Amino acid sequence: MHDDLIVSFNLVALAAFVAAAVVAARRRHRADIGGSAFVPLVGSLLLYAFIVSSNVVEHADITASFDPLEDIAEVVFTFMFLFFVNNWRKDRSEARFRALFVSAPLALAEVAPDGRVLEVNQILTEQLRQLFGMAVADVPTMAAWLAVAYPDPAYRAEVEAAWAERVREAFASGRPIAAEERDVTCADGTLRRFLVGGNPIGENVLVSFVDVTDRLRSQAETARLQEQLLQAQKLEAIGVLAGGVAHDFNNMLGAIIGFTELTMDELEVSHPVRPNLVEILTAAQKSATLTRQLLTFARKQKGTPTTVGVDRAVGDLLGMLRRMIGENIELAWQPGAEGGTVRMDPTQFDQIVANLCVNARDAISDVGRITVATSLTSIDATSAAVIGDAAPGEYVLISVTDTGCGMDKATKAHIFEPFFTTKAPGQGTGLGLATVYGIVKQADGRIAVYSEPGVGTTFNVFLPRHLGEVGLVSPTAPAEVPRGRGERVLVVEDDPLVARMCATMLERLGYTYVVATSPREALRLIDVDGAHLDLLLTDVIMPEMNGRELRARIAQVCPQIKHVFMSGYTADILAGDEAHADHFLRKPFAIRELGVKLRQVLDAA
Amino acid sequence: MAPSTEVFVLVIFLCGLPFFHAMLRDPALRGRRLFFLAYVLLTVSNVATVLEEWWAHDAFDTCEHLAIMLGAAAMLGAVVQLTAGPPRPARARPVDPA
Repeated sequence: MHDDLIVSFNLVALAAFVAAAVVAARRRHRADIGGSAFVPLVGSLLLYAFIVSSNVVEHADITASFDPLEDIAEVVFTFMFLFFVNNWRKDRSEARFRALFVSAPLALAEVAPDGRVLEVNQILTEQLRQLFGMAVADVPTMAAWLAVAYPDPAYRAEVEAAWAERVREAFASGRPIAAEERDVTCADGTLRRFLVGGNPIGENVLVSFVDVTDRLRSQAETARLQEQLLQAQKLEAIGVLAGGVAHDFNNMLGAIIGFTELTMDELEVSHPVRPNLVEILTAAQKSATLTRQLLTFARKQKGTPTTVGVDRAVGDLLGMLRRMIGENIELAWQPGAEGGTVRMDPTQFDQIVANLCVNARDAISDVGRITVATSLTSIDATSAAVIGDAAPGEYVLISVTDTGCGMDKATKAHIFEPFFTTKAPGQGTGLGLATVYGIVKQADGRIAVYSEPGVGTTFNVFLPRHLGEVGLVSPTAPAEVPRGRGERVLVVEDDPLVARMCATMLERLGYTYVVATSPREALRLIDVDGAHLDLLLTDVIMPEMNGRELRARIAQVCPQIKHVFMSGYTADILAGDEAHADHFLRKPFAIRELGVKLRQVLDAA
Repeated sequence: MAPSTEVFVLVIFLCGLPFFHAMLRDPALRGRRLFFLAYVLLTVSNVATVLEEWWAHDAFDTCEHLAIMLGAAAMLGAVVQLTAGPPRPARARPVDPA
């Protein structure tokens, strides 16, 4: 009974071992089992099948025991099974390496110690075909490859020596082969940069080739764009600083101009002090022009955009330009933008042309020629990248070319910076081109400069083209200063000097007034006496609250109160809202401008 | 059969255990757990072979051959797992320049 049970156990075991051997033999292709693993596996299974067979015959009393052979077979089984597992892991590792080698996203080759190329992967095969027009069989050794890639014998010798040294170091240290960039000559004669490295594998070398040509180009392009960005940021920072200074300076100029005019009004025409006051007024007005230029550069000076016909506007300027540049310089006009219009303040457009012509004149030392040309153009994506920071689209191109001394690269890098000048001290403010830059940027345009020392310079100004009717000339100011009729004005101004000036002007014009030095005080006055106020004259930039917000708060309580904003620094508070242009006074303003504006607003419906 | 030879065989099997345990830790090796189980069961059978010489001969003898049968079944299961899955495509071979 006992023996029967043992025999049956062993028969089942025998069947299982034989079945396992058959399954392994028939389905070995489904697993990564190479020959070195397959034989020990099947061998060990059959060996143990023999062992269990001997158990069967022993317990079935068929023959004598196989004990000595059994013991030997069991020991051999252990080692065979060990070989199977070990070789199975090696086969799997080899299969994984092969899969990675073939499918790797970089070019790989396995090279023997004698230089024979043992294997290459798909990427390298493809690169050989595309870049060198060769098949893998054409480069059976490293020497053959070097002869193709480095046709110059001296360079090839240097590459070969450096490679041999790096391979030696890698084998000695057990580390990967240090990668090195090399210029490889392709079949069409062009050079491409490759990063060549590798790893020792046993006694062979796994060599990798990475084409870094496109990456280097991209890096160079990134560096160029970063430099452009830094330059733009620098100019922006300078502009903010200049704008801040100009804003404060504007307030003081407003007081100087205003009080000087008021004093002159009280003096007789023949008064001996009057010429001095005229000088003061002239100097202050020139200073006001200067601050406006600074504010324009800082892009804080929003003009009154209208549709400007480019050819007509330049044609209208020719007379003034000819007087400006002098007789020894020829002025050539080449209109080519028929029907081309831009949307911007006409004064600012004139400033662009005039400043560029002045700059061109100053570059010509004796006789020469300045050419002003216009054309219609479009910028595609490729050109946009060259010009720098330009959106693709339709543009009007205004070119001003001179035959002057030209500029070197170092000078060209600074020409749009405010106060930068190559002229002698006192011969220029250094704001002309900065003003042009500010106006063009404000109009979403672009400037490109081409210059060669000793040859000349061309400024190309690209302004976005606008489709629309050319704007009409705005009505001129009336001859007499319109006077008030006793209307009550709330003046809100945090600068005491400007507030006092406004008060004096209002009184002179026939208005009554109350002055608030802060928005909070203004709102308190509204609460007390809002029903008796007719107009709000407020600064735009103030602590606590800006003029627009103040006006909105007052309108909720006293909607009948009309308003005028005043500022030399509009920023973006009124940006995009052109309706407010009718309610805006640019500082510094004369008493006449104040009178005209107040009357316009109060008389409007 | 001399007990000493059976002990010798058992020692060989026991020495092999840590080696198999270390080698079969790769999770990518299909059927590794059943292979190890089969080896452990065959080792148990050898333990029973040694012990039956001194105690409960029939019981340990039964245990020995039962362990062999179970070990064989585990071995069959391991081979089936090893060769399971769809037929792999022809192994990707790199271009041979020769």
